[in-house]
Amino acid sequence: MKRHIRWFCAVPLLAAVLGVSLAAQAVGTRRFVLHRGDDFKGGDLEGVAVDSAGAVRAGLSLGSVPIAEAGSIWAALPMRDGSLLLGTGNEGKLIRVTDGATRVVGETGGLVATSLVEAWNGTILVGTLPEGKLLRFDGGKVVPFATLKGAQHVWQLAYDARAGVVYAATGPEGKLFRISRDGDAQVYFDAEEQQLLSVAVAPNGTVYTGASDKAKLYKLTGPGRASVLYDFERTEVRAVVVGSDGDVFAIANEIKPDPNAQKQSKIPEGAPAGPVAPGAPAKGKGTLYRFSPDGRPDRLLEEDDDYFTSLALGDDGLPYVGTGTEGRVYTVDRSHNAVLVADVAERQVTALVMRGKQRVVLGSDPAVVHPVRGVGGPNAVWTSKVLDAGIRARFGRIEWEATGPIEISTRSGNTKEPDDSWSPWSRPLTAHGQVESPPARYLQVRARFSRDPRAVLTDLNVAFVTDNLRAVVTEVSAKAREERPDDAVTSSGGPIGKRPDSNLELRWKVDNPDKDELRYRLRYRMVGSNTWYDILKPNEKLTKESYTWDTSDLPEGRYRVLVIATDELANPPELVTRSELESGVLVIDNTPPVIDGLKLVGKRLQAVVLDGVGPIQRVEVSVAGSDEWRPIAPSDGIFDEQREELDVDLSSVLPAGPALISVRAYDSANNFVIKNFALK
Amino acid sequence: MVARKGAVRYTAVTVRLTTLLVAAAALGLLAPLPLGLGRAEAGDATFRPDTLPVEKIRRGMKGYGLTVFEGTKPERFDVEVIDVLPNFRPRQDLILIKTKHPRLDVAKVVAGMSGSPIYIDGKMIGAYAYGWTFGAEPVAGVTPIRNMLEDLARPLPEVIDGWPLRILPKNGASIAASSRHNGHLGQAPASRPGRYEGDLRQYDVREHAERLAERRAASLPGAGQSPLVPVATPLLIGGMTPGAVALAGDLLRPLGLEPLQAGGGGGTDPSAPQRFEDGGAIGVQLIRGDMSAMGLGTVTRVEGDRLVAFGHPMMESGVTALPTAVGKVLWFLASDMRSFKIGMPVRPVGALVNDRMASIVVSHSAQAPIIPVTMRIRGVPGLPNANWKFEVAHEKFMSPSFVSIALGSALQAMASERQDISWTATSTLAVRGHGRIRLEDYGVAIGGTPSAEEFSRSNLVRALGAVLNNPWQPALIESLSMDIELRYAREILRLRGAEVLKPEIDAGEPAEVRLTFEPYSGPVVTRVVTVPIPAHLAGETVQLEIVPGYLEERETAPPDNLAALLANFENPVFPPKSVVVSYATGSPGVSFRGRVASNLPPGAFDSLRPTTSSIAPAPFQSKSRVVVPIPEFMVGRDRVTVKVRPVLR
Repeated sequence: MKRHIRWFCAVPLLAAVLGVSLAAQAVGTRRFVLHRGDDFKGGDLEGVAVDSAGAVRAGLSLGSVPIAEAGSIWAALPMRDGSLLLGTGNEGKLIRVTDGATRVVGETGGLVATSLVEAWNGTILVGTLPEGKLLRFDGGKVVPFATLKGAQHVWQLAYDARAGVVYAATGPEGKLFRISRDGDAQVYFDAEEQQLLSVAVAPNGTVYTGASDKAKLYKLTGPGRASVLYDFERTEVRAVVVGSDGDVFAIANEIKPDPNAQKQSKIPEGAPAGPVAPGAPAKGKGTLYRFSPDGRPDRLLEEDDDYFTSLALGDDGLPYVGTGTEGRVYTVDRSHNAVLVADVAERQVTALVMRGKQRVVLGSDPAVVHPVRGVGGPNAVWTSKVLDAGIRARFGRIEWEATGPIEISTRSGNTKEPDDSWSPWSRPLTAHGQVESPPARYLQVRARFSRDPRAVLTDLNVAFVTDNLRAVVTEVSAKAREERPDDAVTSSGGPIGKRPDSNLELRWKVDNPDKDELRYRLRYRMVGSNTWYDILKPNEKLTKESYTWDTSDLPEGRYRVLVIATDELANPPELVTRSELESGVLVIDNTPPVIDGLKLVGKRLQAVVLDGVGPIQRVEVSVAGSDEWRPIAPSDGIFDEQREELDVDLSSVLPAGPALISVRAYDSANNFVIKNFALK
Repeated sequence: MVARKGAVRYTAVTVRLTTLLVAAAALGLLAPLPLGLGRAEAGDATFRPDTLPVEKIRRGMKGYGLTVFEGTKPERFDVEVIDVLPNFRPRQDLILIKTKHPRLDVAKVVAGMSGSPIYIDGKMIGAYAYGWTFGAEPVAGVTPIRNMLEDLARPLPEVIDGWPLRILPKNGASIAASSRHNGHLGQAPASRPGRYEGDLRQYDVREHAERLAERRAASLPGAGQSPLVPVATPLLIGGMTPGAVALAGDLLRPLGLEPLQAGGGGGTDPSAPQRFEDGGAIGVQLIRGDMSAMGLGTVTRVEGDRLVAFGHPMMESGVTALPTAVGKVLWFLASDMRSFKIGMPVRPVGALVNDRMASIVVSHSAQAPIIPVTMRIRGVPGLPNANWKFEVAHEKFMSPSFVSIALGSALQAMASERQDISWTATSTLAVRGHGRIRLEDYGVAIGGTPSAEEFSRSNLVRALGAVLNNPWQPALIESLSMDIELRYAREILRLRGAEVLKPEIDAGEPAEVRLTFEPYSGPVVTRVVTVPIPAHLAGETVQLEIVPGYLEERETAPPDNLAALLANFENPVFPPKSVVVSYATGSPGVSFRGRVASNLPPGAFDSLRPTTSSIAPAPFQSKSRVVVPIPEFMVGRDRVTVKVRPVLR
């Protein structure tokens, strides 16, 4: 079963308004409830891990070694002397990190040293871009090793110890090279895709390579003998690794580059290089799959708001993935239980080494090496994201569930980002208790795991009550359910509009700063009268910002509607606030006009048409039985009054013999009346 | 008449000010006042016993001036003070004089007399420097000597833009003192006045000239603001064609230099004076050798190794290093508009080292850098002398200007024709510390020889201007050579149009485009170009652009240093005699510090562009190109589209 994990819920935690049943005890009280994995993320995770079920526990404890000589780290190779060799960008330097000290040990001349591999018992090969050079790093010297014809980018190298060859995944011609110890490079596989970004060799010698721009994972069993193991239907297979048991792990992404970068893109002019506007990070989503040795896929992890940039296996055989937008490291077990084990300050985790003695998390933008010091430790601290009450709030009790002793502190402030104006962290609580931080809009919670590194925090909630702010009705509108378009001009000769609907749709807008649940009351009065009448039934409770008003029983006329909003549902009587707003004039016209004094004088039709509210809109005449209605004009030539006289010559309309003649009159609300007379 | 009325009024003001100042002095308030009165006294750096400060000049005073009317020996002319214009320029008065001499009665104000020293009571008061265009009287403005001596006293750096001035001072102590100021004067190249600030790869001599002219117009009194303008410096040009002189006029006239067809090649006359003298003719040599251009003026005052001249700036370029020479005057050419001296250099001596508001400062011992230029013209049957040699002043604006003027002139002189000429030029630019770069230029001149104007837009001149105006470091051009080959033919293929042979192709199948060319003469030529279209573009409509190779720019990284700039100039476009068929691959690319990476996958592109640093690769859209050599230069461009079927059939 595929498990879809949505880690990042964008909805702020202004959640969990308690039900009406608790109103008597705590009117207006709400809670920040942190329960799911998403809820516990977004803040600062220092040496703690958060899993998808919402458990916070001690995680990887990371050190930090900034790499001033580079902006990004693309590859890391633990050396036999205990140092770490880095392949970096954007000047293609090789940097050695020894006991926290960094030193540039080689210049590849490229933009990026993309990949490092140790082959043939100590030969270190370096892949580069943009000239697609495969170099050998030999004790401080970087020398050419092999020519990869047609390659501009070497994305990944993999050593096949059994066959004694190195594979190089390259672009932009999508070629996989097989390089022998003497530097002879042969094309092993030529993919249809532009890039082969990743390559790994299974213990049995099977080669797996991942492509871009179509995210296909190929399985190769010999030169040119390739089959598609899986088509991810995304844009790239960024990395692939093979476990000792033959399981294949691959990360694939769907990445949309910054559209502005594409717009600006043009050949740079000759002006001296200057500051380049930082690009907006690409948006993408990533997925991690495991394939059994016989090729069965198992989707382990799915990210919709971040994509994956690095993949490594741990000593325990579990996969670890680094992300490209939030700088996080996840691991996931076969039960699909995903755990966020590290959250670094850098934007991307571009390389991981999670096996052996030198475990490191490599961050880029900026470049930082994070040695893994262990799990947990005295500094393991979880800090929540900033919890927003919407407006100023007083905080009540804080409660949590934990399997061991942890220390909880809070701080509060009125700026979205914590700064000097925030209160200091409160004294640590080891048991549920009152939040000591002063009233404010924002709150942060911190948990320390120093007392028991094995403790697990699972649920946390904080009660708060906000200041009661008055909701204000800002706009009231009404329209018939069936109504002519706003821009239509009424016509006495054009198509006839639909018959009026006596149901009026009343709508109003409310500015409700504290998000209290509101109750609305509606009233109406005739224009000219000061008496308001209720529209709603006596105990009808209206909480929506709209109401359908049946006006069929109302006498026609001009009316106004009053909307009254109160927050009585969320506050005790002494704190209830109220706001009201009157609508504009509404015309209610549910009765047709009247045709009076209808007669035929010679061939002239004479009559008076009257309506109670609006002007007469249209009068027509028809020979009974025909559906051809001929418009006729009033005596003054214009339909603009409630009373219109008719005196029309019907010579061209009337038949020669006897007939039944119909006269039809419309008012401005499209109510109509038909009156007949016999022509003899 | 107006001037006289004004003079009376100014005198009255001066008297009142004097009265006030006497009172102020009595109260001990004089010292902080920034006025000129009372400054040129013993102890003042500009005090000289043989000079007369402007405050002591009175209307009606009579004296004389020195200038060379003919040959190299200064001669006297009489002067009478009309009055003093206080604060004519910021903190600079102007002494109005009337000159009396039979030649000056005819010539009135004479270009080339700028700097002629003026004496009253045997004491130098300043330099003849300002005049009126179309002046009806021999009346001139004199820049006070004090302002010029201030310029003379300014410390100079030992090195200008990487070039050691090698000044051999008479008074070592004073130069040592000057050297101590070098830290301040050795400004970063980026802040040097007159530097071209635009896109270096598109360096444009004309644009540079306009920027300089704007600066000069902003700092000098000019037409429309004051009738008094600096007496123009005649730029005497020898060995150039009228077209080249006209271009020189366009570029240099707004800078106060008046190009005039004259003569002279920059050789040495053994009988010429060894040193400059007060009132002697001085030339600033911008080009010398087979061609010459010299700004002619007059020495005002020699003090030891240095001297001041002109009484106004030449181009107000500040600290500089331009070669100078003792000048010889052949004649005054009188004109209603503006008279001028015609002359020539007779002995190269020293260098102009400071070009300031009130004067130019010249050192006898300084040696200015020059750029040796050689040009070889091939392809002209029976050409008597195909080789040209000359030296051009090493200066940010003058060097590219005169190189383009001189090359165009040489070509026109040797190969002036009414025929169509196709040409290709290979140039070498030697930059100290950076070796030589090879530059290609080419063109087709229809109905005549390529002009100097065309050379001003050449890759060579752009590169020269860019190197000299680079913002990173001083650059010394060691030499420049051009080998130009002419062919009397119109080597043009006009692109009549393009058509795809198959408007819809399978994924992975190449597109075939038939190009139809019309040569200048002869039958229409067609060529089928095969453009590989990668399979990943299946389902896309691919737009193929067809452009001449010389218009298709290669992707380069914005330069971070001089070496990168030079590298970018070496191969800026595709072979000029080629046609380039290209399409956008849809993948981004980046360039950074000389490296260019194209066709990147989106994830790698994202990782290459940091959000935390603005020192980052510049993005561009990748293109795929097919370059097809053709025998001639293509003219025109076109675009066709081809659809790639979404699935394999």
